[in-house]
Amino acid sequence: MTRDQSRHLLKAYRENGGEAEHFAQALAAAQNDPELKQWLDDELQTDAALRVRLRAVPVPADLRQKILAAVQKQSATPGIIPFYRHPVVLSMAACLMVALGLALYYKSHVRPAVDQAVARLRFNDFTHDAFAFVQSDWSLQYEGGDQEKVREWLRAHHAPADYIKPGGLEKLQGLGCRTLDWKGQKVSVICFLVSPGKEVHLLVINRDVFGDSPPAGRTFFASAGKWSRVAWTDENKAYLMAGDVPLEEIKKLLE
Amino acid sequence: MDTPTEFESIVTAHYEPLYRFALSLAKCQSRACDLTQETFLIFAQKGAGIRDRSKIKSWLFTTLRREFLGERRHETRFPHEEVGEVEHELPTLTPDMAAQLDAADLVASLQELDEDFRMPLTLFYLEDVSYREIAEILEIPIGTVMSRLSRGKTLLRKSLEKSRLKAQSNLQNRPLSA
Repeated sequence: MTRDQSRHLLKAYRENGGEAEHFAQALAAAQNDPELKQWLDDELQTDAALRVRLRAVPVPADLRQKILAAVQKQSATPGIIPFYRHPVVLSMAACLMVALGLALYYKSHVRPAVDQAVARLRFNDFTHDAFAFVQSDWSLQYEGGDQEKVREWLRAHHAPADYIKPGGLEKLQGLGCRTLDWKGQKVSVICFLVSPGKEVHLLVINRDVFGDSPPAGRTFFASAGKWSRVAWTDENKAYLMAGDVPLEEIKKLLE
Repeated sequence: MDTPTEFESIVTAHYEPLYRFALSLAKCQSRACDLTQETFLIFAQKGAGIRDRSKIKSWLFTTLRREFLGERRHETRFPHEEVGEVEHELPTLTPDMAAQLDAADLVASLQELDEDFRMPLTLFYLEDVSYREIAEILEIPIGTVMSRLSRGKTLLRKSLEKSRLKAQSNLQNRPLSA
């Protein structure tokens, strides 16, 4: 690396910015080059001075109060309800709770007939219920982006762990996972961050629980409001991927 | 947000850097205030969906940026300056000169830059966000962040130097008083 290349790289350097590996070589070069070292010291001092100046830009004294007042006014305005308190979302969550309750009752009281019941499970019902679930208010049971640990956690909780993720998810930051009991069957729910505030969820269930699973390789798209979903199967598993993103974005994640 | 106190503490923690970011984008104090306020109004409605609370800061900056871009979609953008041409003309801004700068001059110089450079530079100097977070907020690869920071700093120095020379020239041309 030449001095000019190091200088170009180090112009973006900030000690607490992270990405140490990106700067390691250029920083090492500066340690062995007095001229480059002097330039870097000056650069960091100049940046520090500019930082102090920018952070000294005065903020209107009443801004905080204005923000709080505006938010208070908004929440008092009829018709503007936070999405998670919207009646549709609440009723969907209530329906889901009833469905889960019925599923749990079914599991504990009708166990002898489980094999026949499993044979009647329908792939469409799974995609419908799973899509309703991801739109309801729920939380992760395991938080972390390490996908190997996510699989270990799911395996330990007897949920499908040997799934194949679509290529697009490999590029996204993992948030964690949870399990879900659906009609007596374990479902793995794995979450990814698409962009700040926007997530996509992959739900995986064993394919052999369905009496009517579609042929592997076919994909089924649908959207409702801001939410989109895609469902498909491979030889062993059935998948649903859904999120509050446009359908086009979901399609890209399959690539 | 479920509790007013939690919401208030989030406003308190983030409204100042958000305002300064907004000011560098909007170039107008009242518009910067509006953008900051709109960002928190959106957060009040949608913030409950952010499960990872450590992401709130990035979410707020991203939302503010999107709001700004949405509003100014129809405006003419500044032409891109060919950075390759100015790279070798890096003016000398010493630490002492930087320390004597007025905050308003710095903001004015930042505002002269194309927003491709202005956004990462402002976030860089606000120091509240990492390179990775800058990349998330601006929705660009981290390598692009580094490259724009490096080039943006060159342009900022040039702009600051221009403004410093202009101030000096104004001083020299001022009529002497009796």
